[in-house]
Amino acid sequence: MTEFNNDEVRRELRSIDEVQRSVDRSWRSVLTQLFDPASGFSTDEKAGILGVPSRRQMLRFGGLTVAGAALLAACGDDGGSSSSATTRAASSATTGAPATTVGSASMDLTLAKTAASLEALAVATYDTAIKSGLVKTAAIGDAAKLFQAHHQAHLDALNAVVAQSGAAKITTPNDGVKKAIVDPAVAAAKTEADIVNLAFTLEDAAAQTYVFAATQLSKPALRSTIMTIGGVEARHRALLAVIAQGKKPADVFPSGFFKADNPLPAAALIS
Amino acid sequence: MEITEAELRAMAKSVDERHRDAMRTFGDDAREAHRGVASAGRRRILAGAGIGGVALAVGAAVGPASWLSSASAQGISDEDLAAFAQSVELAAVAVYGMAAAALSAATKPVGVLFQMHHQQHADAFAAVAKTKAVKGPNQKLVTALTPALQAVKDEKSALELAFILENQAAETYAFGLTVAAGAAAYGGMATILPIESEHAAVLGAALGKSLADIFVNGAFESTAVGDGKDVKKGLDPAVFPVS
Repeated sequence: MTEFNNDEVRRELRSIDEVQRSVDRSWRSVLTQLFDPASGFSTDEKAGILGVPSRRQMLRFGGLTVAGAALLAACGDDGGSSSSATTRAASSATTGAPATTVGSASMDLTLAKTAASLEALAVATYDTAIKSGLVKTAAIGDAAKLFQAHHQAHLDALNAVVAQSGAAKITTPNDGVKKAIVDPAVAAAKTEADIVNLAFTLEDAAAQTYVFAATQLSKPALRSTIMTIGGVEARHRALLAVIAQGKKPADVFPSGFFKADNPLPAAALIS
Repeated sequence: MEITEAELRAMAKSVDERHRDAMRTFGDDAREAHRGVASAGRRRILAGAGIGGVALAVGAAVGPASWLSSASAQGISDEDLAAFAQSVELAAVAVYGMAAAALSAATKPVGVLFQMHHQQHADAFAAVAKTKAVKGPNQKLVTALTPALQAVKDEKSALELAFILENQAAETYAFGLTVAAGAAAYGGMATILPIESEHAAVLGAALGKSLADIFVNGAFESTAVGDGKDVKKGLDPAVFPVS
């Protein structure tokens, strides 16, 4: 394990301070201007600055045939005119696109289903890890069991939401993420570290997915609820990184604010 | 589950990297923002479809009943909520500053960096609060924390205080998300909440807490708020109003 002496730490802190001070004043100024109603900045630009996905970024959902016109109509333009339900319905009808638009009930359900499928995948993956025989460290084994129990609780909660909306509960792990990430990693796993790396990848994606979802869901209660799960995934992620993974946190944390863009492959969304 | 001083120092380096990553794109982001558009007006990114079934179902399914309590009943605006959040973040900045004397040379950089995060968060919330932005930390919270600060005699007690405050910050934002209506407010809280959760987890590990004790509310962050005496509850804006 790399050691840092105090001088090194102090040098780094001084450097951080310099970077911070160099931009802090400008940053405050930009933010103040950004959220001034008279600023003229579009919603997308504000979202971009804050790290919140813009409406147009939703077009990245390759698995959904959301037409841009319908999406923009549903979200409203930036020119101050309100987008009516009539406009949204007309756009959707014209394009034939599903009503899976940002901030809509159908998008809410899509995100709930997708989140549930990720939880199912996490439960299954931890089960595989626990039974793999590769996890030798007792503390890591205990963490895997606890985290698996958390994911099962998340799955149950999300499935209650899915069921109450009239849809079938999600019991199958997310196939898109399973094929893209989990299956190759499990097949290649030879050591405890390999298993831990996979767990970290899943927790990282899950946490970011929840932050992303929180910026897309239509209701405050939904946004809060999804982040009561997202915060716990972030704890999983941090603990795996610091305790189990043993790598430098510098290689773990991408930013001071959690990323909010969609981390999932297009095939991972379940509509 | 113990964490070594070297690991703690490595955490400081990690936060440094995260900060640098964030700052690295600042210039581009700012330039992009300044391209400007002709239109104006504060609008929500998300246009509600008017169907609340799923939201209500979520609240009933997993949301603690207490989220219905304070802020929604208070009719708090996004600006008020952001000002409150800013005042909490500034209180956290103050607490880390005051507790720093109890930290060892190995741990102090972590405290300084977490303090820096809270300053960044405060700045972000100040931008959302606009004219309601506060000038200093939440005085009632600082007053409430003073006995605990005075009781800080060593590193362990300082880290324990920080652990409690980080948990309460995460819970406060889980609560705030039940109220925030605009994308700037809820987007900010959604991107900050997990950072506070990670702070809490790192501090809990540094304190040698068991996994069960690190997850103070189990499998879900709590949206409950209170008077600051319970690590399992966030800070109630009604108890800690901004002055």
